[in-house]
Amino acid sequence: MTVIHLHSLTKRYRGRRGDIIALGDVNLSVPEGEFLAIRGPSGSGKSTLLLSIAGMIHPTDGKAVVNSTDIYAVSGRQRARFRAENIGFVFQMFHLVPYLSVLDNVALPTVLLPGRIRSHEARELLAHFGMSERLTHKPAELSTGERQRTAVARALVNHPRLLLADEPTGNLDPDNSAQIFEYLADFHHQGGTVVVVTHDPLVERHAQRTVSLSQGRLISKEAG
Amino acid sequence: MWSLRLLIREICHRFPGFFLGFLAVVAAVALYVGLETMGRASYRETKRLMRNLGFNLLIVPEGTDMADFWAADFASGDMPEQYVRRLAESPGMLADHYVATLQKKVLWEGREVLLTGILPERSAIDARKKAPMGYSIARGECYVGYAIAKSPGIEPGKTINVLGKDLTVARRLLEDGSKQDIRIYAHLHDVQDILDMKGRINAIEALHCLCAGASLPDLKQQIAKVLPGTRVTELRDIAAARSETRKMVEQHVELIVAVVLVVCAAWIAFLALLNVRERRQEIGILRALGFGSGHIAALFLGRAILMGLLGALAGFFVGTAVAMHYGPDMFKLTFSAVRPPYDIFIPTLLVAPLIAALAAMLPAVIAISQDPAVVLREE
Repeated sequence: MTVIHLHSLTKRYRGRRGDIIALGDVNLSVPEGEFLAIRGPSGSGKSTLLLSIAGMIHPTDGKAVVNSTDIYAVSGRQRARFRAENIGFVFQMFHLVPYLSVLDNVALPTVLLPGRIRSHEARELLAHFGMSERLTHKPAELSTGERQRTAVARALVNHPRLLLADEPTGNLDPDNSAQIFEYLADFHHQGGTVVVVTHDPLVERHAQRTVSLSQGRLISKEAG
Repeated sequence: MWSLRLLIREICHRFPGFFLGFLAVVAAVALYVGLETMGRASYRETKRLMRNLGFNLLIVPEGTDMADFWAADFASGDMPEQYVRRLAESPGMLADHYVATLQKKVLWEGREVLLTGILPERSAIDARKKAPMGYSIARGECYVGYAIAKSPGIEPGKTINVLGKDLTVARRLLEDGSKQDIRIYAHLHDVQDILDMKGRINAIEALHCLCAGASLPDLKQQIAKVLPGTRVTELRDIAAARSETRKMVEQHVELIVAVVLVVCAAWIAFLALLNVRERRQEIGILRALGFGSGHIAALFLGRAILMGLLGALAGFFVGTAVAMHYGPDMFKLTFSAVRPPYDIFIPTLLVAPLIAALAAMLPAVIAISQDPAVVLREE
């Protein structure tokens, strides 16, 4: 089953000197359970592509079907709900909520799903990531590696089918980078689909396929 | 519940910003409550002061020549005594404290005196148990003016004979420097007996109401309907002073409250805008996690509402405490009768958060319409 299907996805921004093409006619299919790496120089449209898949950048043309849902054909409210239920997101800068504890940061996405807040699952995930001693700490009190582990736990707490990661190791040392890729690989081995934008060569160990972007266009498809 | 948790954690995290907004609400509400309390005290004080200045309305028979009236200090014509009751029993009158008088210049003990009969006032306010204006003289008694009281044998408790009727001196009046010094005051019915004018009076004195919309033309119309065949004269100096004082107090309070409200709302809006700017990334990540516009707006509006509610609560008590502390020095006659304005407590708790929420509306809209992708790509 195809988890992501991008059909002629195009995103143009209006600039003073004419349109800027952030994504140009991108066609991409990602089957369920694949670990896909997206590479490309800075400004090539990698983050735009990832955010488009997440339903956060409305394309100028084309469509994005994720988990059989044409995400830009539904309302903003439905799209937000869809994101909460189906997609986990990891950022380079972690983007933890600064005033919440580690445990509350991880439990935060569960607020959006029916039923009670799943604090116990957040605890289990954090224990799995070696963060049991840090549950009540604020993000500012954590090392960068711990922050990113917290961010990965937050992305996984709602059991998404798809994990999107934008330069998840961009701010980490090699040891922490390897650990983060191990967590992504674990998720992948359990049947999850991973799409990761990265320059990190460590991704080669785990990615089944790597695609490259240049000036908003998908220019190559390589075996991983 | 989780939203409240987020709200409280965020407030604790960025406490200085919240506290500045809270202080603005406290200041605005305290000022409003303080001014309201002082305004009520001022209103009562003005009423009392104006009442102390004396009656400001005179109702006399229609044919009275006012030139003669001012020369003699009483009207030559007369009218039925029951006019007073008719006035007192008319609902919605813009005047109060009616006192019926019957005055004549008479010769007593070889000198001219003003014999003045007054009826302890009858009006709607009697039911409110307010102290009556003017003298309340019992039958068979009299009050004598200062010039008369100097005569030998005029002592409290002594009996004097006025044109064949014995009256007991109940009180000697202090020097007034006016015609009051040559008056003998007695109960209206005693004077009617003395002058053989049973059931007649020649003037009604009254106090023009200190209330909104109580204009003299309106009052004249009212009285003309109730008492045909009379004319109403306003004692302008007193009336004008009352009116000016009242208007000045009301206008100042309204202006100050309006200015403070606008400044406070602008300050809250400014702080909310800063808060939105500071939380751009947080809004982006909440969006990425799946939080909708309603959730995001609730975070900002909820913050403002909480700020307004807590500020109103504290401001009410601060304003009341300040007013109650400084009020007695400012309003020596009436402040003891003014209580904390508990009747505006609940409205204040409702309106302050509402205004705070309205002030935070634009920042909340900005937060909602912010494109999370732009923020998240900035990294």
